[in-house]
Amino acid sequence: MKEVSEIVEYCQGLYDDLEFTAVREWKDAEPGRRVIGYLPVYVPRELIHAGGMLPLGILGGGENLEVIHGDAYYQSYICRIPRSTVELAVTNRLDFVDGMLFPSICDVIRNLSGMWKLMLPDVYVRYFDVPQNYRDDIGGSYYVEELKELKQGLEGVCGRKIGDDDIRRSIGIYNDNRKLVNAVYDFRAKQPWKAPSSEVYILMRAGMVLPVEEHSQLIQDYLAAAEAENRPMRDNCRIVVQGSFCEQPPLSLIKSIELAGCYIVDDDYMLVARWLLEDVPTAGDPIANLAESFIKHSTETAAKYEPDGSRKGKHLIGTARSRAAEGVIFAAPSFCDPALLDRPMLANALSRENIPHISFKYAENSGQMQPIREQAGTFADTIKLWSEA
Amino acid sequence: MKCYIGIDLGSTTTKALLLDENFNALGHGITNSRSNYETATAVAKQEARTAARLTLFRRGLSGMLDSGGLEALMDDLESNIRLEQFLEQLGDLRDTCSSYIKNGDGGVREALNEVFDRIETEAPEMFKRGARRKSDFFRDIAGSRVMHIGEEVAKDAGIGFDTIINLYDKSIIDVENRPPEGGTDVKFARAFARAIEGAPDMELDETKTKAALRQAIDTELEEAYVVGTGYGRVTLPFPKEHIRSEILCHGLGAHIMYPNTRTVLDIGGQDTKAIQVDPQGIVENFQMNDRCAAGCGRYLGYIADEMNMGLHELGPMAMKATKSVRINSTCTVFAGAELRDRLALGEKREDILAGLHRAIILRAMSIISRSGGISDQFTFTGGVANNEAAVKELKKLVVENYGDVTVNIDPASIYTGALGAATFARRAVEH
Repeated sequence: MKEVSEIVEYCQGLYDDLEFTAVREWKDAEPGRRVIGYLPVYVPRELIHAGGMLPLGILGGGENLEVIHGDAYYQSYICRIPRSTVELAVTNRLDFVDGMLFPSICDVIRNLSGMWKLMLPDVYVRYFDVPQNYRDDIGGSYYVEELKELKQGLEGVCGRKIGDDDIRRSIGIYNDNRKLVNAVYDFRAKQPWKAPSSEVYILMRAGMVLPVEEHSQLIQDYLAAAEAENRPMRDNCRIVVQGSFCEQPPLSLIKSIELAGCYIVDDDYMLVARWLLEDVPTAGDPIANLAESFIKHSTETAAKYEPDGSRKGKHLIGTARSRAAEGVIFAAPSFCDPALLDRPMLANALSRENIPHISFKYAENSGQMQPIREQAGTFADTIKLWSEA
Repeated sequence: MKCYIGIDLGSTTTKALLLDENFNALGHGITNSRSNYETATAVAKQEARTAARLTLFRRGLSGMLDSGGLEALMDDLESNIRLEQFLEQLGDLRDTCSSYIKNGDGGVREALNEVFDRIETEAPEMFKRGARRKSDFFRDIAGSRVMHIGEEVAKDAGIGFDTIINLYDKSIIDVENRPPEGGTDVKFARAFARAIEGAPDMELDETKTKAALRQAIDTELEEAYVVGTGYGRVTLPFPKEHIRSEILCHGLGAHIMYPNTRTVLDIGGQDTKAIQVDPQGIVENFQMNDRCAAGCGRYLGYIADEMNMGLHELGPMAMKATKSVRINSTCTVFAGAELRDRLALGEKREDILAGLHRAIILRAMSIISRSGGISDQFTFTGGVANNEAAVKELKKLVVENYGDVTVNIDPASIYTGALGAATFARRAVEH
């Protein structure tokens, strides 16, 4: 059996590698292999996989990328992920990527898709426009068409038809992966001292660059190793992190939250792996099934429109309750319109339910953790003091 | 003699530069801006005029001494003029401090005189040719010496150290805001006498030398046209056409220094500018730092204060680094906090400094990219161009991003804006 440290070291290596060596090696292993990059927050990776291609999750350049040219593409008062993503492109770190999908998360990412088309005219670029209307006859049928167009575009990249059986098979594989991802979240929520969030985080990040089958195996290895390892339980409080669904916090921020006395028992990092809340059926029309799952059984996030104000925050409250969380930390990237506009509504909903919450902002390259430790530590302490009172 | 003068009123320092009738730089002067641009302008201009007279003297001596001897004499003379200026201001500081002492406080007066006597005694050593000083500004030198000597004297005299410091604090602003008296004549004569004294074996024709000195002192330096630029330019009592923007002046100044310049980077006290210029030195495109002074010279100033070091010492210390600590924020306001955070994590000072220098240059690289990148040749100007660690990082990143580009850095690059302004002054008269 593999040791936790061994798995963590492997994941850390993948996380730190801004050259995407693992993906390059996968691509070079067989002629004709293709890689499709995608940005947060959700794309149907099943379709990419069904075409024999590798979906590559691109989450910006992180804390270690020095942005020199990326700033020139944007005004100063926006988040950092598009700048560092441009930097990855102009420094040829993504020169092996054959296609790029930009989900409709916000204006900045939409503009990024336009820039990509101008910068890299030979790369397949799609602005993946998911519905903001969840009625079967409107958003539902629209999304089916969107998926068909995407499939067609992907067929252009892999050079062959993507058959229904291929998609069904991929749906099954991703269903398995999602179950395992959820198993890790359940495990952490139950015994957070055995699965520190900094480890869970890089384990999930590995799923952004590894073939899904390898990632599923890695998760199983981790679950077995983490279960077997004895680690001291701390007197930490239990919190949910909300708002980090696009630009990712530096790993040191996640560590700081934990060091300050908070166990993260749920989060919205890399939602793509947990977007769908139920298994997608493997029988029947696979495109219709993917669309139906999206419309009926997808998670809530700021990038998804909720027309019914009274329902706003229901999902977050449900998560906090089911995870027995004692509070919520809103941690959003600076200038993230969706997260920051959503926050007051979610915060009000939490207040009505007497769930404590705090908020702070970060950038993927935030370097000073002292203020984070201070705030998270205060939050942890007050939660304890309140519960004693 | 007609002179064209450019004055660059920076946020940290004010610079003045004199061009002669043949458009050669006659002399430049620099002083701390001390939030009083009027005085700063007067002081910088006076320094530039003094330097101009030295240049004239040097010209008058040409042929009379071999080049080594000439350099040595000029260096000695310059050091001695600085010493004269320092002693003059020190006298003023002594008198001003004294005026604040209450009658009957004989012990304090005695201690104060002791402090100033000691500074006066050690002054010639401080201003000896080749001596290294943390700063050339009166406030910095006098301040650090009063602190150092004052502590000893106060201890011996059994009076509170803060009494001495209070007197200094009360007086320094008055003294700084009183431009030194003219009296060039006397100062030059005294400085010259000292310089000759220090070099007895120099073969000089005394009559000829004195005549050259007299001529240098007597030459009238007529201000034909003055152009002001820099952050404080709006405070200059000049008509509009005598004021030019910093970006125009830096672009033109860099062009005059290096005619093949196409891209200029200027990192000053509170802004960073990337400027693209045409073959005539006229600005084609530019970008400035937005939002705040993050990553500018002032940031290094705060760091130096925080580390209790001179600004000049940061670069050399960063050069000793064995690795570079990654610093992502160049926020000037939080500079101290960032530094303490890293120190608390056990990082070494030199490694942190190396990281800070890299962070500044990365910001500059980003601004350059915004302005259109780097075209050959590339000229780096501004106070930060004097910092070897910053230059090292910049050169590395330029090669990585733009290939083999000629990088020009003039030792007098801090005067680029003033040179541009003086050139505009010259052109204004020409046209």
